[in-house]
Amino acid sequence: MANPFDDENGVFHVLVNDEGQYSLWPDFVPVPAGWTAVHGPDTRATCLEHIEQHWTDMRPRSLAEAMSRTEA
Amino acid sequence: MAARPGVEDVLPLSPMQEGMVFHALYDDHAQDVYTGQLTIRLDGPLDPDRMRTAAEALVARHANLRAAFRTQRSGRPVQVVRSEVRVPWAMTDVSALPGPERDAAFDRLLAADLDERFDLARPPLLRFRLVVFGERDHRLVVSSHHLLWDGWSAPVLVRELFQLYTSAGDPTVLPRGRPYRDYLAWLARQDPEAARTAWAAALAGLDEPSLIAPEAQGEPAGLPERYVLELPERDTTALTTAARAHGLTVSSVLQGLWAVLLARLTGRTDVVLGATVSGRDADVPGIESMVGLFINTLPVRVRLRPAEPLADLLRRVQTEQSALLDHRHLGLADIQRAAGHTVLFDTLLVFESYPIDDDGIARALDGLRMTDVSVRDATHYPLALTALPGPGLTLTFSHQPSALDHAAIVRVAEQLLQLLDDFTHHPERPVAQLSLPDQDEQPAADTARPLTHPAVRALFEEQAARTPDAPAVLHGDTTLTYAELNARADRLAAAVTARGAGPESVVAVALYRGPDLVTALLAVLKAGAACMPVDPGYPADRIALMLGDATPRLVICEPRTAQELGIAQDLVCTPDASTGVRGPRPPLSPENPAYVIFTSGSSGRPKGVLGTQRALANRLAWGRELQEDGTPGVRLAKSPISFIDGLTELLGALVIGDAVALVDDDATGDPAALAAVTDRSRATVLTAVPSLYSTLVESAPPDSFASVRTWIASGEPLSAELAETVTRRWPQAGLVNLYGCSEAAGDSLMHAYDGGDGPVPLGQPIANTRAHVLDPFLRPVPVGGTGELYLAGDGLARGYLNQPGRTAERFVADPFGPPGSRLYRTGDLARQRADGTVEFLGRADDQVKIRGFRVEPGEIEAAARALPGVGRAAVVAREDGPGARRLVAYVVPASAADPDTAPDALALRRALAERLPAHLVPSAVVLLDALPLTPSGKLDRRALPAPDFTEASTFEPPRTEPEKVLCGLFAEVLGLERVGVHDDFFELGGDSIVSVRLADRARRAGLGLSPRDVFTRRTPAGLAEAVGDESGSPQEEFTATAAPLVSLSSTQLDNVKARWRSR
Repeated sequence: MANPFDDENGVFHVLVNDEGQYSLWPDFVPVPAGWTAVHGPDTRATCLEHIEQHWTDMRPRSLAEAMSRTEA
Repeated sequence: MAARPGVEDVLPLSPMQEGMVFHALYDDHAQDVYTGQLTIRLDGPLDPDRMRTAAEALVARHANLRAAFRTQRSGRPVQVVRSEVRVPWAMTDVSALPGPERDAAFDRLLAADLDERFDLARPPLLRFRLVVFGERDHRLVVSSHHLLWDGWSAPVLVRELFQLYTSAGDPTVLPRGRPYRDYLAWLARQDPEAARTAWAAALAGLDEPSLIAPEAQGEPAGLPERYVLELPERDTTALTTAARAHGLTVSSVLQGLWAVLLARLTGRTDVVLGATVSGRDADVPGIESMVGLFINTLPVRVRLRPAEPLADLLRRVQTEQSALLDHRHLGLADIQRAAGHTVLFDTLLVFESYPIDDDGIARALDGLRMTDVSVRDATHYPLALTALPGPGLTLTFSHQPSALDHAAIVRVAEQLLQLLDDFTHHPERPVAQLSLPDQDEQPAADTARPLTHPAVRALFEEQAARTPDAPAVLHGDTTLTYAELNARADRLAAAVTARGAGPESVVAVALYRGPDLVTALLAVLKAGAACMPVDPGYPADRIALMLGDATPRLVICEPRTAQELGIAQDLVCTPDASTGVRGPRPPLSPENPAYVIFTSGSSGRPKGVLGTQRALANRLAWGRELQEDGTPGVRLAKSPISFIDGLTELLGALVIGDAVALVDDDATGDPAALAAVTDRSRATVLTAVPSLYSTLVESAPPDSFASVRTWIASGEPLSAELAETVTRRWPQAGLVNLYGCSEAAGDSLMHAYDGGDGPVPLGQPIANTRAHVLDPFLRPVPVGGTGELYLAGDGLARGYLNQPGRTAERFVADPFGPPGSRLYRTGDLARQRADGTVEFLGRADDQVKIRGFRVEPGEIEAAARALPGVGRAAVVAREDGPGARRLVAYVVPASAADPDTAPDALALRRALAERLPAHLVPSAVVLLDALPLTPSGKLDRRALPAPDFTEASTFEPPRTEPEKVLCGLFAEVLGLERVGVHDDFFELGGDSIVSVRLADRARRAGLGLSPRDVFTRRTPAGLAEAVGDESGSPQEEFTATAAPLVSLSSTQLDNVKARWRSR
């Protein structure tokens, strides 16, 4: 079975939602509501590299903000 | 040529004839689907004798109608043409019957006739029957085997028959016909090598066949059912016009659209369908008016590209097909061999476009009129579509009802009509955005349930406050009440908090199953940290790797474990720790993590799933729905703790008021031990994998498990047979099938078994969970089609620990949920029933399940490659015996390896056992010179040899009676010819399931042994010694001396113990 996310030769975007969570996304599918493309179209490897570099705090943004308020 | 009297000719078969002979011989008792029936209605006065003479003259005229099909001593089939045959002729008069009865009698006659098989060795393979309806009303039924002629030939034959009727059987009225042998001679002149090369290229890189009914492979086909649609004339005209505008034939349009449909049904983007070609383009003069079997069935491979406009796709299909025009004479069997596949497709598309000389037929008749003609033929394919051009395009779907029912065919037909409409009106639309059938077919069950406490600690504490004095933990003679357990957990939680662990930190818990384990897990959750259960029996290297990844703030374990595993002193927290000062509990968010569970990783390292409080709390609170009448029961806790099921089993009971009865780690797979704990604790709920249920059914003591009210199965496909056996043996208990994964808090779908055939479905989503079956274009797959299963909702984990890339490719944006939500793609193939129930169809990748454990072969391959002297490695799950699914590693030594240091299979297996958890250790390592590859360069799994466990045997004959019995039993349960007294159970391919069988048989033979003895003693000699103790009781200590062949390190010993654990 060909999963569009596993296509090594596919064209992808990098999506981010309001919680700062990332998603790899195939180029041929419309971007779902609540997500924004921040990189691409590009190769799968490059998109994954982008994610590895930019998604450094995997906590949802609202949680990270609430936690930093409590700590402050 | 005529070597024998009466034999006029002996000829080879055309490739299509060879295929049909195979199907006729495959099952010579069932109906032969290639028996065809041509029924002609004739109005006017008819002379039966003259018609019979005409029929005889027709058979005399065409040599190939007198052929018998035989197999030569070489195995090669030939057709033997007799110079003369008696033409079967029968007459039935139904004219005396009243009208309606007449038709019914005729239908019965046709059905009985179709049932009557032709004997391929007794020519002719045809028969005539004239049915008299009235003086001026007749039906002529010509039944024949499809081997003799194809659809194109039928009108030619009918015209000739009528001409011969008119001439009273005088053949000179017809021009001399060209014989079928001329076509066979032409075939023999073709270049099969060039054709094989062309087909191999056309199918290069194809991974899998496109089967819509894989389970029907190898089943004899019955008579298909039919569903006929006629496209309205207006739509037919519009379709033809659109096709012409794009330079396409209607046939190419249908092929391309069928491929799109096939992609939806199979969940693939690289699909193959079968297409029947007329074969009449062969360079044989006069071929268009010849009688015989010229058709051929060929693969049409279509690779779908999501963004490609539909018309472009269809043009590409047409171009790719025309490149193969010169090679269409090659037989399907040859093409499959060239492509390296045993089967390519199970759907067939037939575009009937042969000429029918209606005027000629009408002119031929003398005083008679042919007022109707119908042809009944069939194929063995589960689904065949025949398109008949005309003012309105007629589409006939013939299907094997056992493979596809009527409702499924109606859905297929609707989709094809929709696709035809798409092509006619929106040819520019990208393939990934073509219309789908109405989505109300996939009802999204409302699973929303308010979750009062999206944190596990609150759920537990609320329960403890409700039932403080109720039993919470049962273990041996120990009982802890809810209040006692809560107090212990509070004490340890305070110590954990005091040492700096809290929300967003991880605390590992490395304890064997016992009250301390339960206390520690709760304490970590109370502190707001994520608990990471670690099986202390795992190899130290493995544990170090997991701890290195998760960097826990603390490790709760016994000092001895800390020492063995080399855990830094400042990380260790003993389960009895407490603190004088109790600070305030830090606030906890539902988004904070609750657990870290490591699963097998395809890239060679295990990966840690970080699950949230909300996800785990949702799963645990949902468990109340399984509770019988809402009354507390007792749950047996036995699932291995480093897996998510171990966690949900323990905690799930404790948030709904059940008591947990703890099973010691080394007894979890032993039916007798499980029965003892169950009966002592009066356990009501038990979770196990199907393979353990098989063992229980086979080996559980009589009258055991009488207190059980709910069996829960998970981890592996549950067969209907097993489900039925379990519910029959224990009629007082219900059986629930759960499906899930660590990435979604353990369980996402559930099905209460209620009978029914086939594998028990995975079921419907649990609370606050959605399931989607999506196609390769991320669109919902229509009911009945194959797709990949995606999960959404509260159960989703945050992701993989420290792996943002891997998280972002598995947890992806959700086009179907609230804005910004995510989907987890499971990698499982599934289909949905009309009511939304999900059925499991296998894996989309290489992952396998062994006794319920999730195993990525890639991880074991990486571990094998890391061993000295190893070049390449491939790991597969094999089923060489009934019910024995085991991992086998195939290893190719490194090319540079010096013969003296070349790896030894047994040594490699032992080395893997030192590095991997027991469920990942292959049953056997097989050394190969090279890994076998398919023509497309992939691992050829079929060519991998079965492991030869006798290689691990150093056969030494038994010396005593118990040894003799045990050697015999070893051989019996392991399926080996003989076993020596010092042969090691595990190196001969044994595992925990087989060990239960061995212990069971030994007990029946009067040798009191437990499965655990098998694990510690391992050889017939060692076990015979244990029997010599008379008690046969389990040994208190595991000692290295008990295993005579191998001396075990303490890690290996722990691993031996760990291997015993069964889910």
